[in-house]
Amino acid sequence: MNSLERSAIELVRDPIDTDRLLTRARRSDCGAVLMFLGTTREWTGENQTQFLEYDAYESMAISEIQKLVDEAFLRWPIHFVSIVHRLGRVGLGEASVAIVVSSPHRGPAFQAGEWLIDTLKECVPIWKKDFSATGSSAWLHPSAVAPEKS
Amino acid sequence: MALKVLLFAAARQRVGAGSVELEIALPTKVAIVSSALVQRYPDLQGLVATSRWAIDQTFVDPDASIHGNEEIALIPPVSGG
Repeated sequence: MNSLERSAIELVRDPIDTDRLLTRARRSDCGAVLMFLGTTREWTGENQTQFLEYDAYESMAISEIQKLVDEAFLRWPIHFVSIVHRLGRVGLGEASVAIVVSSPHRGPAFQAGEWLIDTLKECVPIWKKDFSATGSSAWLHPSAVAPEKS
Repeated sequence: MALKVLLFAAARQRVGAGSVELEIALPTKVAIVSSALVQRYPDLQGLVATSRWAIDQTFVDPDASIHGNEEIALIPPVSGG
Protein backbone atom coordinates (compact mmCIF):
# COMPACT_ATOMS: atom_id res chain seq x y z
CA MET A 1 0.00 0.00 0.00
CA ASN A 2 1.50 3.29 -1.14
CA SER A 3 -0.08 6.05 0.87
CA LEU A 4 2.06 8.80 -0.64
CA GLU A 5 0.91 9.07 -4.27
CA ARG A 6 -2.44 10.71 -4.86
CA SER A 7 -2.82 10.00 -8.56
CA ALA A 8 -1.48 7.83 -11.36
CA ILE A 9 -2.11 8.61 -15.03
CA GLU A 10 -0.92 6.36 -17.81
CA LEU A 11 -1.32 5.67 -21.52
CA VAL A 12 -0.57 2.02 -22.21
CA ARG A 13 -0.46 -0.29 -25.22
CA ASP A 14 -0.95 -3.56 -23.39
CA PRO A 15 -4.08 -4.96 -21.66
CA ILE A 16 -4.87 -2.87 -18.60
CA ASP A 17 -3.73 -4.60 -15.41
CA THR A 18 -6.81 -4.05 -13.27
CA ASP A 19 -5.49 -6.07 -10.34
CA ARG A 20 -2.45 -3.83 -10.11
CA LEU A 21 -4.61 -0.71 -10.26
CA LEU A 22 -6.82 -1.91 -7.41
CA THR A 23 -3.84 -2.83 -5.27
CA ARG A 24 -2.34 0.58 -5.89
CA ALA A 25 -5.62 2.26 -4.88
CA ARG A 26 -6.00 0.80 -1.42
CA ARG A 27 -5.63 3.24 1.44
CA SER A 28 -6.15 2.58 5.11
CA ASP A 29 -8.03 5.89 5.40
CA CYS A 30 -10.42 4.99 2.56
CA GLY A 31 -13.60 2.99 2.97
CA ALA A 32 -14.37 2.94 -0.74
CA VAL A 33 -12.45 1.96 -3.86
CA LEU A 34 -14.37 2.42 -7.09
CA MET A 35 -13.25 1.13 -10.47
CA PHE A 36 -14.86 1.95 -13.80
CA LEU A 37 -13.84 0.10 -16.97
CA GLY A 38 -14.84 1.28 -20.43
CA THR A 39 -14.93 -1.80 -22.61
CA THR A 40 -15.33 -2.52 -26.32
CA ARG A 41 -18.97 -3.28 -27.06
CA GLU A 42 -19.93 -5.40 -30.05
CA TRP A 43 -23.13 -3.72 -31.21
CA THR A 44 -23.89 -0.03 -31.67
CA GLY A 45 -27.20 0.27 -33.48
CA GLU A 46 -26.74 -1.81 -36.59
CA ASN A 47 -22.96 -1.61 -36.54
CA GLN A 48 -21.15 -4.76 -35.45
CA THR A 49 -17.72 -3.92 -34.08
CA GLN A 50 -14.89 -6.39 -34.53
CA PHE A 51 -12.38 -4.30 -32.59
CA LEU A 52 -11.48 -0.71 -31.83
CA GLU A 53 -8.22 1.12 -32.32
CA TYR A 54 -7.32 4.12 -30.20
CA ASP A 55 -4.98 6.95 -31.07
CA ALA A 56 -4.04 9.97 -28.99
CA TYR A 57 -2.23 13.27 -28.99
CA GLU A 58 -0.29 11.74 -26.17
CA SER A 59 1.37 14.70 -24.49
CA MET A 60 -1.87 16.68 -24.46
CA ALA A 61 -3.95 13.67 -23.40
CA ILE A 62 -1.79 13.27 -20.31
CA SER A 63 -1.98 16.97 -19.43
CA GLU A 64 -5.74 17.12 -20.00
CA ILE A 65 -6.31 14.02 -17.85
CA GLN A 66 -4.13 15.62 -15.17
CA LYS A 67 -6.41 18.69 -15.24
CA LEU A 68 -9.45 16.47 -14.73
CA VAL A 69 -7.78 14.70 -11.82
CA ASP A 70 -6.81 18.03 -10.22
CA GLU A 71 -10.38 19.28 -10.56
CA ALA A 72 -11.80 16.07 -9.09
CA PHE A 73 -9.64 16.55 -5.99
CA LEU A 74 -11.01 20.09 -5.64
CA ARG A 75 -14.61 19.00 -6.03
CA TRP A 76 -14.75 15.85 -3.92
CA PRO A 77 -13.13 14.53 -0.72
CA ILE A 78 -11.22 11.74 -2.46
CA HIS A 79 -7.74 10.47 -1.71
CA PHE A 80 -6.52 8.68 -4.83
CA VAL A 81 -7.35 8.66 -8.55
CA SER A 82 -5.89 6.50 -11.25
CA ILE A 83 -6.74 6.87 -14.93
CA VAL A 84 -5.26 4.48 -17.46
CA HIS A 85 -6.17 4.65 -21.16
CA ARG A 86 -5.12 2.02 -23.62
CA LEU A 87 -3.96 2.90 -27.12
CA GLY A 88 -3.80 0.70 -30.18
CA ARG A 89 -6.08 -2.24 -30.76
CA VAL A 90 -8.70 -3.16 -28.13
CA GLY A 91 -10.83 -6.23 -28.71
CA LEU A 92 -14.42 -7.03 -27.73
CA GLY A 93 -14.96 -6.95 -24.00
CA GLU A 94 -11.48 -5.61 -23.34
CA ALA A 95 -10.98 -2.42 -21.36
CA SER A 96 -9.89 0.72 -23.20
CA VAL A 97 -10.00 2.88 -20.09
CA ALA A 98 -9.84 2.31 -16.34
CA ILE A 99 -10.72 4.91 -13.74
CA VAL A 100 -10.12 4.16 -10.08
CA VAL A 101 -11.15 6.45 -7.24
CA SER A 102 -10.47 5.88 -3.55
CA SER A 103 -12.20 7.92 -0.87
CA PRO A 104 -13.11 7.65 2.80
CA HIS A 105 -16.82 7.35 1.93
CA ARG A 106 -18.46 5.86 -1.14
CA GLY A 107 -20.61 8.82 -2.25
CA PRO A 108 -17.73 10.97 -3.48
CA ALA A 109 -16.08 7.96 -5.15
CA PHE A 110 -19.19 7.25 -7.24
CA GLN A 111 -19.67 10.92 -8.09
CA ALA A 112 -16.06 11.61 -8.96
CA GLY A 113 -15.80 8.42 -10.99
CA GLU A 114 -18.84 9.27 -13.08
CA TRP A 115 -17.70 12.85 -13.62
CA LEU A 116 -14.19 11.72 -14.60
CA ILE A 117 -15.33 9.34 -17.36
CA ASP A 118 -18.01 11.72 -18.64
CA THR A 119 -15.55 14.60 -18.84
CA LEU A 120 -12.71 12.49 -20.24
CA LYS A 121 -14.99 11.54 -23.10
CA GLU A 122 -15.57 15.24 -23.89
CA CYS A 123 -12.19 16.81 -23.31
CA VAL A 124 -9.25 14.45 -23.76
CA PRO A 125 -7.57 14.23 -27.20
CA ILE A 126 -7.99 10.51 -27.72
CA TRP A 127 -9.88 9.01 -30.68
CA LYS A 128 -11.30 5.60 -31.49
CA LYS A 129 -11.52 3.93 -34.87
CA ASP A 130 -14.20 1.28 -35.28
CA PHE A 131 -13.32 -1.78 -37.35
CA SER A 132 -16.61 -3.43 -38.22
CA ALA A 133 -17.39 -7.04 -39.03
CA THR A 134 -18.12 -6.01 -42.63
CA GLY A 135 -14.47 -5.07 -43.11
CA SER A 136 -14.92 -1.31 -43.18
CA SER A 137 -13.49 1.05 -40.58
CA ALA A 138 -14.35 4.53 -39.42
CA TRP A 139 -12.95 7.14 -37.04
CA LEU A 140 -15.57 8.23 -34.54
CA HIS A 141 -15.93 12.01 -34.37
CA PRO A 142 -19.17 12.44 -32.39
CA SER A 143 -20.22 15.93 -33.42
CA ALA A 144 -19.98 15.06 -37.10
CA VAL A 145 -23.13 13.94 -38.92
CA ALA A 146 -21.81 10.46 -39.64
CA PRO A 147 -18.66 8.56 -38.62
CA GLU A 148 -15.63 9.23 -40.80
CA LYS A 149 -15.38 6.16 -43.02
CA SER A 150 -12.25 4.90 -44.71
CA MET B 1 6.98 31.10 -42.79
CA ALA B 2 6.26 27.36 -42.80
CA LEU B 3 3.92 26.60 -39.92
CA LYS B 4 3.59 22.98 -38.83
CA VAL B 5 0.14 21.67 -37.88
CA LEU B 6 -0.25 18.28 -36.20
CA LEU B 7 -3.07 16.09 -37.50
CA PHE B 8 -4.88 13.18 -35.84
CA ALA B 9 -7.51 10.54 -36.56
CA ALA B 10 -9.67 11.24 -39.61
CA ALA B 11 -7.70 14.38 -40.50
CA ARG B 12 -4.44 12.43 -40.50
CA GLN B 13 -6.08 9.67 -42.51
CA ARG B 14 -7.49 12.02 -45.15
CA VAL B 15 -4.27 13.95 -45.63
CA GLY B 16 -2.09 10.87 -45.31
CA ALA B 17 0.33 12.46 -42.88
CA GLY B 18 0.65 13.21 -39.18
CA SER B 19 1.47 16.85 -39.89
CA VAL B 20 1.41 19.40 -42.67
CA GLU B 21 3.27 22.64 -43.27
CA LEU B 22 1.42 25.77 -44.28
CA GLU B 23 2.99 28.95 -45.62
CA ILE B 24 1.59 31.73 -43.43
CA ALA B 25 2.82 35.22 -42.60
CA LEU B 26 3.62 35.67 -38.91
CA PRO B 27 2.36 36.60 -36.45
CA THR B 28 -1.02 35.09 -37.19
CA LYS B 29 -4.16 33.75 -35.51
CA VAL B 30 -5.68 30.29 -35.22
CA ALA B 31 -8.62 31.29 -37.45
CA ILE B 32 -6.23 32.14 -40.26
CA VAL B 33 -4.33 28.87 -39.90
CA SER B 34 -7.67 27.06 -39.94
CA SER B 35 -8.69 28.74 -43.20
CA ALA B 36 -5.31 28.06 -44.74
CA LEU B 37 -5.59 24.37 -43.83
CA VAL B 38 -8.99 24.08 -45.48
CA GLN B 39 -7.80 26.00 -48.53
CA ARG B 40 -4.89 23.59 -48.93
CA TYR B 41 -7.02 20.50 -48.14
CA PRO B 42 -10.63 21.29 -49.12
CA ASP B 43 -12.02 17.91 -48.11
CA LEU B 44 -11.06 18.69 -44.51
CA GLN B 45 -13.61 21.49 -44.43
CA GLY B 46 -16.43 19.63 -42.66
CA LEU B 47 -14.09 18.12 -40.10
CA VAL B 48 -12.25 21.39 -39.40
CA ALA B 49 -15.61 23.10 -38.89
CA THR B 50 -16.36 20.79 -35.96
CA SER B 51 -12.79 20.62 -34.62
CA ARG B 52 -11.01 22.52 -31.90
CA TRP B 53 -7.45 23.79 -31.96
CA ALA B 54 -4.64 23.42 -29.47
CA ILE B 55 -1.51 25.49 -29.04
CA ASP B 56 1.24 23.95 -26.91
CA GLN B 57 -1.16 21.24 -25.76
CA THR B 58 -3.88 23.60 -24.53
CA PHE B 59 -7.24 24.24 -26.18
CA VAL B 60 -7.48 27.75 -27.66
CA ASP B 61 -10.08 29.98 -29.27
CA PRO B 62 -9.96 30.95 -32.96
CA ASP B 63 -8.62 34.40 -32.12
CA ALA B 64 -5.60 33.04 -30.26
CA SER B 65 -2.29 34.39 -31.52
CA ILE B 66 0.50 32.35 -33.09
CA HIS B 67 4.04 33.66 -33.25
CA GLY B 68 5.73 30.74 -34.94
CA ASN B 69 7.44 28.65 -32.29
CA GLU B 70 4.33 26.97 -30.85
CA GLU B 71 3.12 23.41 -31.28
CA ILE B 72 -0.17 23.67 -33.19
CA ALA B 73 -2.64 20.81 -33.45
CA LEU B 74 -6.04 20.29 -35.03
CA ILE B 75 -8.24 18.45 -32.53
CA PRO B 76 -11.21 16.75 -34.24
CA PRO B 77 -14.18 15.77 -32.04
CA VAL B 78 -12.75 13.40 -29.47
CA SER B 79 -13.90 9.85 -28.86
CA GLY B 80 -11.79 8.40 -26.08
CA GLY B 81 -13.05 6.16 -23.34
